[in-house]
Amino acid sequence: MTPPGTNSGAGKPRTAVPFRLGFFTRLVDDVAPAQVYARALDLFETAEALGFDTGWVAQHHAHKEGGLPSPLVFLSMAAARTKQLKLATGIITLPLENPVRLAEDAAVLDILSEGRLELGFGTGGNEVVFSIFDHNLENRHADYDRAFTAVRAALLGQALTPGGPVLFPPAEERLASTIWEAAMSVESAIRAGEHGSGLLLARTALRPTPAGSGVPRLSLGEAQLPIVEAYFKNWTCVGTAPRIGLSRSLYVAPTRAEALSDAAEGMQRYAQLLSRRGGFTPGLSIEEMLARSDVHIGAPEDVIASLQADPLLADATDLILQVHPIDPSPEKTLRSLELIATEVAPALGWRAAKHDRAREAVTNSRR
Amino acid sequence: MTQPIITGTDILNALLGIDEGSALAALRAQRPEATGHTQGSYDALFSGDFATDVSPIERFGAALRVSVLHEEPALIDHYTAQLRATSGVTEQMISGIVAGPDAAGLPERPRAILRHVDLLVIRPAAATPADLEALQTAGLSAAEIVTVSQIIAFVSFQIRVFVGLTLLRGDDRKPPAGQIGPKDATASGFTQAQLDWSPWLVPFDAADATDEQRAVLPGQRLASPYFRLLALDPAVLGERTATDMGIFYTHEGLPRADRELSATVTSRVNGCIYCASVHSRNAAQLSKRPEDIQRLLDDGISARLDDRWRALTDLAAALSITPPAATQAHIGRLRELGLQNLDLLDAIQAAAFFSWANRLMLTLGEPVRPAEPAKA
Repeated sequence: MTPPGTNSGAGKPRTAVPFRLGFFTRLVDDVAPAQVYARALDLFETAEALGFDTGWVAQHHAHKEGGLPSPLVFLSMAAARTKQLKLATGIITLPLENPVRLAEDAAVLDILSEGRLELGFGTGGNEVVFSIFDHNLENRHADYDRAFTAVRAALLGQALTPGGPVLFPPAEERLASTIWEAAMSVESAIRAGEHGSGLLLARTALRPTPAGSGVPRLSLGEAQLPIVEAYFKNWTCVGTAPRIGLSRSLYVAPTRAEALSDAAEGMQRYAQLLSRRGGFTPGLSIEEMLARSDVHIGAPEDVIASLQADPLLADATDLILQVHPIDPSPEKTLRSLELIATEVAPALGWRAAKHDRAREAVTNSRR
Repeated sequence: MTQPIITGTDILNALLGIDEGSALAALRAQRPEATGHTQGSYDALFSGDFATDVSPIERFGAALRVSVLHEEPALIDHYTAQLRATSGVTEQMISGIVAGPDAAGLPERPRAILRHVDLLVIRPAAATPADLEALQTAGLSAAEIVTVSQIIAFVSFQIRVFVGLTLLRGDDRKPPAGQIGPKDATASGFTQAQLDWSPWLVPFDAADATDEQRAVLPGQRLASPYFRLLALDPAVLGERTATDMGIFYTHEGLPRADRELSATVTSRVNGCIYCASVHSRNAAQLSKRPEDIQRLLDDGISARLDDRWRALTDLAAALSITPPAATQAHIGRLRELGLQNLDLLDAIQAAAFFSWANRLMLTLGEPVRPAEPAKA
C-alpha cells in the first residue's frame, strides 16, 4: 500500500520527538465476553511489560461490534493487574452520563489506580443508543457541554449544588487537567482548546473526493490538520501545554507478506460491516481497502516509514495505536504490540518510561 | 480570537528593509499568526484608539529608551522618527529620553516611566511593589501601568525578533561590547511544580469584566489574576495572547518541546521563577526529559545537556541578555544539527517572546506556593 502522505516531509531529516506510546483495544471477538475481557486484560499486562505508557478502551452501548459499555469497571480490573500503565477512556459518551456519578466513579478509580486514570470524552452519534438512554441525538452537543461543565466542576472540587457539598472522594487536580476530548471537526477542536483538554484525533476520517475529479485523496494527517490548527489557535488554558492524542490503525508483523496475509480476513469482515453502511467501492483489493481505511501495515520498516510520513506525528504528545480494523488473532496482536515497543516506536523517538515495575513485570511474565 | 489588524505595513519587514517577495518575508509568512499579531501588538500599543491614557509621546518615548538600552540602531531610528512625528515633541525631550531617567529637567511622570523602563529592561527580577507605587505616585493608574509595562516588554521582544531575523538574513552581527542586563536575576528556587501568582495591583473581579475584557479572557483566563490585570488594556492583551499562541502552538517547524525549552531558558536567564515553572513543566512533559530540565533549572544555562539542547539553550540565552548577543555562530551550530529556517524562526520567536512575558510576570506580581486545595 502507499502509505498516507508519503510525500510530505520527504528529504527533511525529522527530529525524533518523544511521545507517550499508547495502545487502544476494542473488546470485540467471536468468543464469550468473559474471554474477551480476559484477553484484553492480558493485553494490558503485556503492554505494561513492554513499556507502553497508556492503555485505552472505548465505551459502546448495546453494540456487539463495539464491545464494552462500562470502561471504568473494566479499567478498575486493569488497574489491579498493572502498576504504572496510565489507564484512559477513548472515549466515554458524555451526553449519556450523569456527570456527578461519572465523577464519583472516576475519583474512586483514580484513587484505586494510584493516580493513573485519564478521562477521554466524546459526543457519540448513534441514534438508537441515544434513544435507549432517553436522549435526543439532536441535543447531543448541548447535552455534552452541560455534562462536561458539570463533570469538570465536580472533579475540581466545586460545590455540586450552590453552597452544597463537594465531590467525595475528592479528585486530584490532575484528573481534571488531563481530560481528553475527541474531535472529528473544527468545532469540536475549538471546544477542546477552550476547555484546555487534550485533543483526541480519530484513526480515520471521512474525506470524500468527487469521483473522477482527479483530486488526490488527502492523507489522514492532511485531512486532520485543520482540526489541529483550530485546536492550537483556541488553546486558552493557563499553565499547561496542549496535548494531541494521535490515534492510528497499525498492524506490524515480521514481514510485509505475513502482515498482508494476516490482514485479509479482518479486512473482508470490515468490508462486509462497512458495506451495510455503504462503505468500500466493490472490487477493491485488500491493499486498496487498507489504504482507504488508513491502516499502517507491514514489516517494522514499512510502518516506521508510513508513520514518519504522517504530517501530524510531530505534533503528537500521545501516539495511540490499534489493530482494528484488521483485528488479527490475540497472539498476533500481542506480537504486533511487541514489535511496536521494540522496533517501531523507538525508531520514531519514543523511549520507554523508566518503569522499574515494567521490568519486574517482564520478569514475572517469563516465569 | 482576534484577527491580525491589517495595516499594510509590517514594521519588522520595513526595519529589515525586505519586501513581501523576499525569502525572509516568505519565511515569516509561514508563521502568519505570530507575524500578524506581532504587528497587531505594535498597532495596539502605538496606533489607533488607546484603551488607557498613556500619551503617544510617553508610548514612543518609552519604546525609544528601550531601544537605546538595547543599542539597536534600526529600532532607535524608528522610535526616534515616530517620536519626532508626534505632536508636542521637542528635540530637548528626545535627547532627555535618550539620556534616561537621570536627565536634567524631566517632569516627574516621564521620569517615573523612564525609571520603569530601565528597571524592566535591565533588572526585571529586582522589581518590587514599591516600584509600582512610585508610578502611582507619579500619577499613573493601574491600567496605565499595565500599558507602560506592555510597551517596555513588547519592544524587548520586538528587538530580539529583529536581531534573530537579521541573523537568518545572514547579517554578520558582532557580540556587544558589554552586557547591561539582566542584573539581580535569581539563580535559585526554580521548580517544575505548579505555582500560583499573586498580583501587586488589584485586578478587577471576574464578575465585573466588560464584554471587551471577556473577549480577551476566554476559557480559563478569566479565572487568572494575571490575565485579568493585563485585561486593563484589553486590545493589547488580545494581541499578546494571539502572538504567544502563534509562536508556540503551531504545526511543524521546531518541535513544541524545543520551543518550551527556549521559553524555559529565557525565563531562567531572567530569573522568572513563575514562567520557568510553567514552561519547564511543559518542556519536561513534551520531551519526557524531566531530569535534563531540572538540571537546567538547578544549574542554569551551563547545565550539562545534549548537543541539540545545548545549541538551543545557547541561542535562547544569547538572545535573552541585554543587549542581545546572538551571532551567526549560534545559528550555524543549529544548522549543523539539521535545523531548517522555520525551526530557527520558531526557536528565535519562542526565546524572544519570553523576554516579553518574563518582564510582565516579574514586575506586576510574584509567584506564590499554591494553597492546599480544600478537601471535604
